[in-house]
Amino acid sequence: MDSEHREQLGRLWLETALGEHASVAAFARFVLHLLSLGAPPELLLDAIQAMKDEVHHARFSFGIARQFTNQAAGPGRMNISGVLDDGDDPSSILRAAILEGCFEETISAECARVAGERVEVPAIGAALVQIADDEAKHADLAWRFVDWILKAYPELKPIAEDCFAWALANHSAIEEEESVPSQENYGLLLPSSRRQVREATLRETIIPRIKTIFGYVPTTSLPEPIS
Amino acid sequence: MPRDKQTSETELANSLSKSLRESLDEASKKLNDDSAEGALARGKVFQMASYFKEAAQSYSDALAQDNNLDEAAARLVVVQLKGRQPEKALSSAMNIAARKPGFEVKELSSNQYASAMTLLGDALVHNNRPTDAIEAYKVARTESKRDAFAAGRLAQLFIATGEPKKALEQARGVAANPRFRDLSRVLALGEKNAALLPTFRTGSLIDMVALSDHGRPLFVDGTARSATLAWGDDQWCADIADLDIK
Repeated sequence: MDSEHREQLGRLWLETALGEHASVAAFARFVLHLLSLGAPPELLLDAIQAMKDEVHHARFSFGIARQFTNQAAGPGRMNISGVLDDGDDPSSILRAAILEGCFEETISAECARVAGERVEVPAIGAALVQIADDEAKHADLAWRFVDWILKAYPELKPIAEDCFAWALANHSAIEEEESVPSQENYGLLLPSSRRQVREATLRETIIPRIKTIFGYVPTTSLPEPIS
Repeated sequence: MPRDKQTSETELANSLSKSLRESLDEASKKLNDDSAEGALARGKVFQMASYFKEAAQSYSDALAQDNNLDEAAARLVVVQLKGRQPEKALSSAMNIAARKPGFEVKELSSNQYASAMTLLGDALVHNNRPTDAIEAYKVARTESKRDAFAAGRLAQLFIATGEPKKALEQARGVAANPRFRDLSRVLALGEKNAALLPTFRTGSLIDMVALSDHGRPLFVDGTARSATLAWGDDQWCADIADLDIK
């Protein structure tokens, strides 16, 4: 592998590592939100566990990146100003959980699983298996949270319906991204593969779970004609 | 079901039943006529029975006999939308909206009216043209006194396009139409506290759902945030024991 190829793969793993590191903050915020809502202890404990998991995922990813870049790197300072400004009211917390958890993490978990199947380096594969298992638990936490909050705050149901409907309606607008040759051999799914995984996960996992919550798939974007 | 909700549902069912009966009785008088009015009456019965293809044909027959029968032209848009023919509905809606934008058609199941511009707005939304639809609904709001749908449609679109304040401005016009009961409840929450309104900036939402890095993204004001990179720090580098990269 030439140095440019190594640098490209290392950069992609560093981006992944910083994403995992940012997840610690995302779950820290989620923990505060759970406390503000009076959520039950099992949700809180799972959110705290998720923070710990994400620290390990970040360390795996920085460790893998170092093998490509031949230089150690870690997270530096992080701007956390305004992190709680997006709203600590129940509806804002619900929307964040739906978009970040029910959609993003459910898809991320499946992307990690598929990446683990395609990787040709056993050590990266082992890390991806652990990451995929953990992410699946984190996604499940988001779905359990939505179940709980809709029981605790039933007036939020129309907001949840709107949020799911809009996330479903906008899911396909994915920009083309650059790719690096043979990146899937090293645990990094190609944009085209991620798109396929995303479509399949929406169809096979996310939409069925939405149906279990509402009994139907909300679609609010089209007006019902008059009678 | 709570008593007040059951009372409200019963009142609504009674109101729908009364209007449907009246519409059916009126249409029944002309079902056997060979005239354009007869075809219009058959269209209404088919529409009430959800035979949308037959209803569309009857309304088209009515228009073939009398091209100025505005009610048939308006109802044709409705059944084409219900029959999942958005392109045809848009063509029909443009026709009636251009010819008589102020025309108002009464719902068969209520005493609520929709104007030709609202029908055009509906057809535009079903053809994925929300911006044009907003303009059509705005015209309906200003030009039609009896239209009971344009305000609700505008509120839905403003919420969908991330303009909750504009959605709230429509709240008063929404409350009167029972079809917008859920929307009305959402707007009522928003009037108490704007933060309770759904707010989706389309751009940031697309960014959100287009991410697929591992983990839960940290969104702040619609943008994913992460730490800076610190070179030389090996505390964060796990020992990847047998990693062998050639």
